[in-house]
Amino acid sequence: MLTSQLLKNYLLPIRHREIIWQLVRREILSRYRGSILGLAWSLITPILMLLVYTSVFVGIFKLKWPAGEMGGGIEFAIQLFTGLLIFNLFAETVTRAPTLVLEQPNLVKKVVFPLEILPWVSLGAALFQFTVGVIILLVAQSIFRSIPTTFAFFGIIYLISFIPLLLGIMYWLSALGIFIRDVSQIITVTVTLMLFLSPVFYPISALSENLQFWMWLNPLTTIIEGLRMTILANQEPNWGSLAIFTLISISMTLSGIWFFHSTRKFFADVV
Amino acid sequence: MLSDCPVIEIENVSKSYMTHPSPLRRLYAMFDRSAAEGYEFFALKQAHFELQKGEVLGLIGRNGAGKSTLLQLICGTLTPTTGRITIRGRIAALLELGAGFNPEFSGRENIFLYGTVLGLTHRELLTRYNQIVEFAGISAFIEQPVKTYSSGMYMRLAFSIATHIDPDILIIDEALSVGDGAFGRKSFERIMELKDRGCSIIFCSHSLYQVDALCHRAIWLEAGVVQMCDRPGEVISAYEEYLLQTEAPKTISANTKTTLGHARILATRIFCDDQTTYLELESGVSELRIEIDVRSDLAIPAPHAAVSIHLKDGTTVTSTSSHLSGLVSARDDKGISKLAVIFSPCQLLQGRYLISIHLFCENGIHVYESADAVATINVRQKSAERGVARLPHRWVDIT
Repeated sequence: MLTSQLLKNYLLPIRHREIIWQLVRREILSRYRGSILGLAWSLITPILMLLVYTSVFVGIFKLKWPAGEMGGGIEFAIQLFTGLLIFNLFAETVTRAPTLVLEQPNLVKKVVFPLEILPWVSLGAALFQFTVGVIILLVAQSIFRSIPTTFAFFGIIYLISFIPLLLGIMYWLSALGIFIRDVSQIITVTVTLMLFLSPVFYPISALSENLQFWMWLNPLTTIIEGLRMTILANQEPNWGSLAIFTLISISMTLSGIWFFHSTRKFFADVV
Repeated sequence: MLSDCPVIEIENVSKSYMTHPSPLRRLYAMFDRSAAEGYEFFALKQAHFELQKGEVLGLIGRNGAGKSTLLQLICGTLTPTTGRITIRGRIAALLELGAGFNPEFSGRENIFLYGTVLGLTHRELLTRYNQIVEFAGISAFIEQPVKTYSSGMYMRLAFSIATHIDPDILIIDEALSVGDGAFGRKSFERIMELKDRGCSIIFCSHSLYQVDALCHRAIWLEAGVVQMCDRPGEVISAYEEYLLQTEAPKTISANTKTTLGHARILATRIFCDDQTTYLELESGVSELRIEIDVRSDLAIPAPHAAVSIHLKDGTTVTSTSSHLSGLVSARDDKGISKLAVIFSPCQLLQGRYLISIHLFCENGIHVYESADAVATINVRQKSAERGVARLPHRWVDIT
């Protein structure tokens, strides 16, 4: 069963904050190691991506953001960027999750390592990139549209409720991926599919009512639309959907911890 | 009191693995043990013992007897299928040194990372940092990533970290050879130092004399079952006896299947005038008798034994073999034959001589086994001849 000590180890691993910090730092730095611009790439890449998407969709395909305030290129870019920000955070953590533990046979078999921190490390590294993106978004929003109001703060609540969901998925997949190696392939395909099944390239309001219902079953919809509502449109969050989402998110984490913890003693037999 | 409790308690611990299950069945068996039935292989069965504070425990047994499994269970890298393991104190495992390192990290970063994994705080590590680096002798390379280290440096650093965390329990695997000879001695001294401080040690080795010399108690594992747990002397002699009994038929049956047969010297006995304790004989009077017990694969022709007699500097005085004498020994159904060579009277002259015994193939070419300098004999002499041996000769008057 899940005891409070156990939950603390998984949900609030402050006991291992030093290891987590070192591993996260290492993960971020190793990504840009040896490059001339170094850490600056974490800023340059999202801006370049933003330019590429905008010029393709707006410049070439002549697309307009439906129901957008300005409808122009900047509008499209900012709306798209918000969607991509969430999707990339999701894709980066979830795609890696099935191999998270599998890739560390030494930590499983040779030493007594707190394996439950591996999802935190992965999440920490992804959140760094994500934070840079949020700052770019806020700056762009302030310059081209309007200064974010206090509602932008509620955007952070959406993000906080998103984190347990990601952790839960990672615990599930990293444990499952050890025993069933096919999980990794399935997830790669699923994540690509999710890019188009989430309101990244379009707002959910552009779909028919019937379709919209199905879209809300996708957890990314709540987060992406929630961020657009609070940060971009300066509106109050939809508290009802936020509450339901948080509940789902927390139950995902708890079940993930339960699964990870009850299978973990068999990791060394299989890895 | 904590100090009165055993530092390790192993209570009816078993470890089983599932052999060739499908991934789904394995997953299912985690929640319902009955699904594993019929697929189980027991690496360790019902082990039950304790380790007291300051005690040194030796672990002996053949390969695959479950020694490593037991050590890994104690370290916590494996979890027991049934039973309970209680550990009181900090464990330093010298099993696979450096396995916890991250090759991309520098030596310094690995000290902190690995040290934290082993249960030390950042502050504790800071105070030990210099000691660790100094002991490992790699201060010049400490900022380099450990993937650039030689395997010796890698092991030295890992050994240094593991033994500087003030362990209460030290777990040492047989294959512990840390770097060059100088560091090997240093690491041995470090282990002894920890032992003197009251650190409990579990020590797994094939060299039985080491177990005998170092341990207070020994455990003999065979096929995952603890056969014996007692004073090292008793356990080792029982184990050796067992090895002699079981390996004999096994070697032969195994060899009949392979094309490569084998032969071994089982025992040698040397008699000087029926005396075995004082190997002294009188030149030209005493009898020197050398007996050799040989076991060979029945599938190969009976081997030949040879005896050579040497001076201290290695010069061979003489040699003789059953091949040159045309003797073919009879063998019993286990492939054992007994041979003797008799020098009567022994014509060696005064001095000390070494005796070596060899085992050759039926053609006298391939050497199966050599036992060099199995004995030293002392030859006394009454007459005044000089040299090493008396050759057959006669004097005649030809005037």
